[in-house]
Amino acid sequence: MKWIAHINKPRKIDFEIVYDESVGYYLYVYDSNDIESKDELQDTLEIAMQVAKEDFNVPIDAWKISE
Amino acid sequence: MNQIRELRQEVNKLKPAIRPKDIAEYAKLRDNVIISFMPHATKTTQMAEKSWYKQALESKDLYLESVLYGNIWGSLLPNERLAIEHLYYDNPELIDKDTGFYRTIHDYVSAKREGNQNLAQHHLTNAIWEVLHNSLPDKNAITSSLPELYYDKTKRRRKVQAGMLNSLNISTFRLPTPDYIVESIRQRYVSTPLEALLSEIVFPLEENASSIAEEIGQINAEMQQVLSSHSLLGLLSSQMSLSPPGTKEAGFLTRFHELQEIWEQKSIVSDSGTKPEATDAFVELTTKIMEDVRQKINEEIDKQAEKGKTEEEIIEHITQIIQGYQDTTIPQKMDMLATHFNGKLSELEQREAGYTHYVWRSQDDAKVRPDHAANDGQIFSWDISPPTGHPGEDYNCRCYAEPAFKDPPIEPVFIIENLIPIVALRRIILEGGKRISNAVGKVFRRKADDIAEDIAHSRGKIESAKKSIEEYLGGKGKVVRNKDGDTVITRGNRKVRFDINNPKPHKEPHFHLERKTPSGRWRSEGKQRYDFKKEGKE
Repeated sequence: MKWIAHINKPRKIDFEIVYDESVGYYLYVYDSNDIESKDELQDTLEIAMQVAKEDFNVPIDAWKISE
Repeated sequence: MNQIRELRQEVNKLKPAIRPKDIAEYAKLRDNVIISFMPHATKTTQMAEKSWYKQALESKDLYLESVLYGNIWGSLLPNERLAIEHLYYDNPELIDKDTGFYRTIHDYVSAKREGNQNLAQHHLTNAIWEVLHNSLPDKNAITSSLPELYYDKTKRRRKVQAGMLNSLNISTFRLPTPDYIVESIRQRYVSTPLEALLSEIVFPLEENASSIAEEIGQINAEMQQVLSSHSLLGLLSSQMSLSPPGTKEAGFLTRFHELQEIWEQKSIVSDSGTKPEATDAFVELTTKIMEDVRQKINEEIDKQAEKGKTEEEIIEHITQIIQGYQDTTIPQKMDMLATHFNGKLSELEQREAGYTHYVWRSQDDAKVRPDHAANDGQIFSWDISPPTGHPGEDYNCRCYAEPAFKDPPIEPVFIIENLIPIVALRRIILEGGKRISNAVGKVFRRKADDIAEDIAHSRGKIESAKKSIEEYLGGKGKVVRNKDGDTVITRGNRKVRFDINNPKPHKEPHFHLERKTPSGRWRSEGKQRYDFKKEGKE
C-alpha cells in the first residue's frame, strides 16, 4: 500500500508513505531543492501522517491512496 | 471471489481420490513392464543382486567407518552418521579428506569431546555451511547471498519437518521418466560387478530398452493429461518429470526415497510381481502426501485472504510458492542436513542461550515411534539424556526440542552478517573503504565512526561493529528485514536501521539511529541519517 501527498509552498515537496509489512510505514520526503529530503520509519500510518503534518504542515486529508 | 472459489475447488480435487488411484494404476502398469522382463531375472540373479547390495553396503561401511571417519565415527550421533551416509551416496566429493566438511566435522567432534559446547556449535555450523557452499555450482557468483540463505534456512530449521516447506517439497514428488526406468534397470542388471554373470539377461534388456521407454512414456503422458486437466493440478504435475534420484539437479525428495524403498524392496524383488501390501503402502503414503498438500495450500489461501489480498494476488502467491520449490537443490540439502543435525544443533544453541531443559515435541503423526510419542510434551534436561536419546538423535528421528521457557530471547543466535546485507558490505569494502563521518554530537559520531570503520576494514572487525550497535541499543536487538532486504534492529525504544539496498530519497547508502518518543514517534538521534562516505573525505 502507498499513500502520496504534495505541498507547493514554500516550494514543491512530494510525500510518500509506503507500507512494509515487516517493519512498518516508511515516510519519504522528496524536496525539489533536496534540502529537507528524508526518510522515516514509523509504526503506524497515523503517526507517519502526523509526522508530515508536524514537520511540513501537510493536512491529513491531503493524503491519497496511490496503489 | 469466483477465482478463489475455483482455486479452492481445484485444491480440493487434490484429494486422494485422484492421485493414489492413478498412481496405483500406474504402479500396476509399471510392474507389468518390469514383470515382463522378470523371466530373465531368475532366482540366481536375484540372489546375485542381493549379494551385490550387501557388498556395496559393506564397501560403504568400510570406507566411512574405517578409512575416512574412523576416529570419530563412533562419536557421531545416529542421525549425524546418516547425514554423512546421504552425502556419501549423493555428493561423495563433499565429504572426502580434502574437504572443508571433513576438517570441520572432525573439529566438531574434538570440541564436543572436550566439552566445549560453543566451539562445537561453531564447527558444526561451519560443516553444514561447507556442504552448502561447496555444493553450489558457481560459488563466486552467489557468495553474496550465502549468509542470508544460510541464516534463513537455519532460522527455520526447527520448522522444516512440520512446516510448509516439507509439504510443498513433497508436492514436487515426481514420477519416473522412461529414461530413468531404463537407466535403473540398466544399473540394476548391467552396471554391477556381476555383469559377466548377468550377461544372459543384459542383451535382451538392451534390445528392448526402447520399447520399455515407449510404453512407460505413454503411461506417463496419460498421467500428465489427467493431471493437467485442472490448472492447479497441472501446475503441480508440471514438476513431475523426474530426474534420476541422486543427481544434483533432480527434484527427488526425502519421501521419494520412502516411495522408492517401498516400491523396490517390497515390489520389484518379489517373485510374483507387485505385492498387494506394497501397493497399499504406496497408496497410503501418497494419500498422506496429497492430503498434506491440499491442507497446506488451503491454509495458505486463508492466510492470504485474511491479509486482504486480492484473488489475483493469492493465486500468484500460491503459484510462486509452488514454483519456488522447483529449484530444490539447496532446500533439499538443507532439509537433509537440518533433519539429521537438528538435534545436536538445537542442543548447542539452547545451551548457549542458557536453556537447561527442553520440551519434547514429536510430529504427532502415525510414523512417530511409540517411545518418542510417549516423550511428547514432557520436559527433559539437556544434561540427562532419556533412554530414547535427545530429540533428533536417533535414526530418522523427526522430533525436536522446544526450549522449556515461555519467553525465549528473540535471537539466541546472533549472526552478524544479518546486520548488513552482504551485497552492500562487499560494495562498501570494494569501493575502497568508506567510513561514516559528519556525525553531529560526539557520542553518535563516535558510534557511527566505530560502525563504519569496522565495516570498511574487514569482516574480522564486524564483531566489534556488532558490539557498537549493541552498545547503542543497550543489548541484542530484534533483527528484521524489510522488503528491500535492508535490516532494522530494534530494542526497546531504540532502533538502528540501514537503508543500503534502497537508500531513497537519497542516492547513497546510509543508516539511522532513532529513539521512540512517548507519543510513539521515532525520532532521529544526532543526525537525521548517517552516510557512508569515502575514506579521507569528511
